[in-house]
Amino acid sequence: MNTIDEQLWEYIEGTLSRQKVEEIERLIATDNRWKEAYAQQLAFSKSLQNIELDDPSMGFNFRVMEAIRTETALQPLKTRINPYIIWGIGLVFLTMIIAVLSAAFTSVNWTQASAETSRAIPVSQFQNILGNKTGIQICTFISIVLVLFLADRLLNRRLHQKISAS
Amino acid sequence: MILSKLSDTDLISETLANNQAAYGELIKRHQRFVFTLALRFTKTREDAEEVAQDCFVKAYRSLGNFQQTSKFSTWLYSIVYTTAMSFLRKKRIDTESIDNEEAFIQVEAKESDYSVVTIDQKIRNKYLQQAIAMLLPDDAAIITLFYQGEQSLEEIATEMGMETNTVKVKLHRARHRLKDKLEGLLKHEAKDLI
Repeated sequence: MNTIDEQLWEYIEGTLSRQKVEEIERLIATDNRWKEAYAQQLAFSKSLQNIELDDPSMGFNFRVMEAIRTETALQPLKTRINPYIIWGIGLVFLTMIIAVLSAAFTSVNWTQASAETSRAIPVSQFQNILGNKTGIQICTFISIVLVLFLADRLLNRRLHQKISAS
Repeated sequence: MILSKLSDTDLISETLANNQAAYGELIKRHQRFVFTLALRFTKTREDAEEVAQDCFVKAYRSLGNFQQTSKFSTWLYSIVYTTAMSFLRKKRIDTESIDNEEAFIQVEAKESDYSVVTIDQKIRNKYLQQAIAMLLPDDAAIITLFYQGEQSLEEIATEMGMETNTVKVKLHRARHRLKDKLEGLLKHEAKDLI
C-alpha cells in the first residue's frame, strides 16, 4: 500500500486511475491530515516548477560554434572530397594504362619472339631519360610528393586518434 | 528565413544542409536547460560549461544519426546525462550520499514548524537551488528533468537508460530527500537568524 505522500504525488502528477482520483479527492475534502499534506505537496510541486534555469556565460554560444568550426576544419580531406572525383581520376588513369598496354601488345610481333631472346636491351634509351638533369629532377619531385603525402596521412591518423581518445 | 520561427526538426534539417546558423539557433534554444542540467552533476559553473559545450559538439557530430523518433530535447538530454556521468568518472567526484556526511545537519523531525508553504517564493527558490545542489547527481538530474525540463517519466527513462518504474521510484525518493534537505536548510537558517 502506498503512503499518503506517494498517493498524493501521483494524484498531483495525474497518473492515477479515475476511481483512485475520486477516492483521493474525497479524502482531501473530508480528512484534515490529507488536506494539509495535499496543500503542502502542491505548493512544493509549484515551487519546483518555478525554479529559474541557470544561464551560461555570455560567449557560450559563440564558443560552441567555434569548437564546431575548428572540428570541421580538422576533418581529414578525404571526408570532404566528393568520392566521384576520386573515381573519375582513377578511371582516367585506368583508361590510359589499358590504352598503353593495348598499343604495346598489338605492336608486338609474336612470331619472332623466340628468335630474339638473346638480343640485348638497348639501355642507352633509359640512360637518355634518367641520365639527364631533368629526369633526376622529376624523380626527386615525385619522391618528395610521396613523402609529404605519407607524412600527412600519418599525422592525420595520429590527430584523429588523439581526438577520439579525448 | 527567420530561424527563430522554425521548429527543432526544421532547424536540424537546415543544419544537415550545412547551415551552421541553424545549429546556433538550436544551441540558443536549449543552452539554459543543458547548462542547468550539467550544473546538477558538476556543481561548479566552469565544469558545467565544459560539459554543456561538449554535449553540443557531440550532438552536432551525431546529428546525422538522430532518428527523430523522439524529441530533439530528449535525445540531447540523454547526451548530457552520459557526458556528465563520464565527466564525473573522470573527475572522480565523490558521489556518495551526503546523508552520511558531517557537513550537513540532519533533521530528525519530519514535520517541521518551518513549513515550505509559508516561505516567500523568492527565498524558497534560493533555498530550493541550494537543496538541489546538496542532492546526489542522479536525484538532482531527475528532479530537474521532471520539473524544469517538463519531461515525462518515459522520456526521463530513455534519457537515463532506466526502466520507467525505476525512474518513478527514484523521483519519489529524490523529492522526499529534497524536502528533507530543504526543511533542514530552513531550520538551520532560522536558528542563525535568532
